Amino acid sequence: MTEIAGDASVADRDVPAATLLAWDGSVRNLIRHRRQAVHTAWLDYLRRELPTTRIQPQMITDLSVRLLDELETALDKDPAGALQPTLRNLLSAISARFVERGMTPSQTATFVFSLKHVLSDMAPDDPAGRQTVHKVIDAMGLFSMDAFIQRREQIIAAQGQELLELSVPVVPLWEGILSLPIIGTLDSSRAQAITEKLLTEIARTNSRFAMLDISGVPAVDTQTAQHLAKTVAAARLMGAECVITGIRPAIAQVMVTLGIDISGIETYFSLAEGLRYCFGKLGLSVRA
Amino acid sequence: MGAPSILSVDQFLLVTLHQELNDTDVEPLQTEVGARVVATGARGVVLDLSGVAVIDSYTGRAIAGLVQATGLLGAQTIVAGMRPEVAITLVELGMTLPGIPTARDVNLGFAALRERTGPRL
Repeated sequence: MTEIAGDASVADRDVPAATLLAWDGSVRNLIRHRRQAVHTAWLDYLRRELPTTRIQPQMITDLSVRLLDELETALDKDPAGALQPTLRNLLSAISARFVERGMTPSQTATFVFSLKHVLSDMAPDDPAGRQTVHKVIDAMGLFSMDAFIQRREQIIAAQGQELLELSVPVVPLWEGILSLPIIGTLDSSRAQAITEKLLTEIARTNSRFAMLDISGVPAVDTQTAQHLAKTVAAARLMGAECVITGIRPAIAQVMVTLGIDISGIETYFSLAEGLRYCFGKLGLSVRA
Repeated sequence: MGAPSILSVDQFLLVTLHQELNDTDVEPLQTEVGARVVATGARGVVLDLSGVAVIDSYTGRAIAGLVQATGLLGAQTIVAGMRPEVAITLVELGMTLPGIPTARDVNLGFAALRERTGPRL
């Protein structure tokens, strides 16, 4: 993603006074020779149509200047062709900025498409030129929309990943004893994340016991029980014993009704009792 | 890397696998382990899988078979040091190796063997 930096100052674009009277009415030369006027008109339009406190006026000013630069280059090089890489980069960066500041898709589109209205108003006698520039701006607007959606999806995916990470804390409780409080429902992807995290921690800390606490799991169905059973079996292959704590009476009844068999696995309601079991196995006891 | 290695440690054997087993490895390994158990009077075997990064169902079955055959000769086998990816793969393949004791690492494996087999009379 391109960073938007640098000083695209509008003053650089001012042309000598001699040509100030020489505009031929074309859109092309409007942009080339009347840049300041176009920019001012565009900013006025944006202030009316795109009122927002989410983006600073200075950023709007900077972005619009850069876009005018790129539009001029596009009209010079190949107005009918595909958007140039530098223009695409700029549009991607603009869309990304807008997404990150909480702007809506239509606001992003308005930002780009509004330039059409400004140029049309200012160059009423050049229908051919207007048509050409409209095609370019249309392509720019559509590209911006795609870039907007892409950036938003990236952010959502990253947040989902982070949520998954946060929801699987594995805490060393004692030397050789890990604690894994499971909060929320246990679907396949979470179960996989939990299993991977737990096994990695078992290897890393060389732990012999893992206490899986399910008091934060609202319901246990057959699938959840299967996930748990797989996790316990994998941990056992690595030489670590899993103890399940936090089983409530209601959950216990459901498991019996469903015929879920987790015999062979130590289970407790109380975390303390589960801990006592692990201590016992390690030859440890708690003294007053 | 390559072929499994067999080492005598106290009154036990340490069998180290370096990679998955294929069908040319399995029979020689079983034969060699059996011979060494008998020759040394070993009462236990630690099967070290800490160097195995990838496993398939063939190797899983070979391990189970090795443990069973060695058990018939009077030596208890403990599987030690399995890696997370290998453990997950075996469980997904439905091979939980029931009845085969496991240990976090080779040291714990030997400690467990000493506990199980007791002092030499």
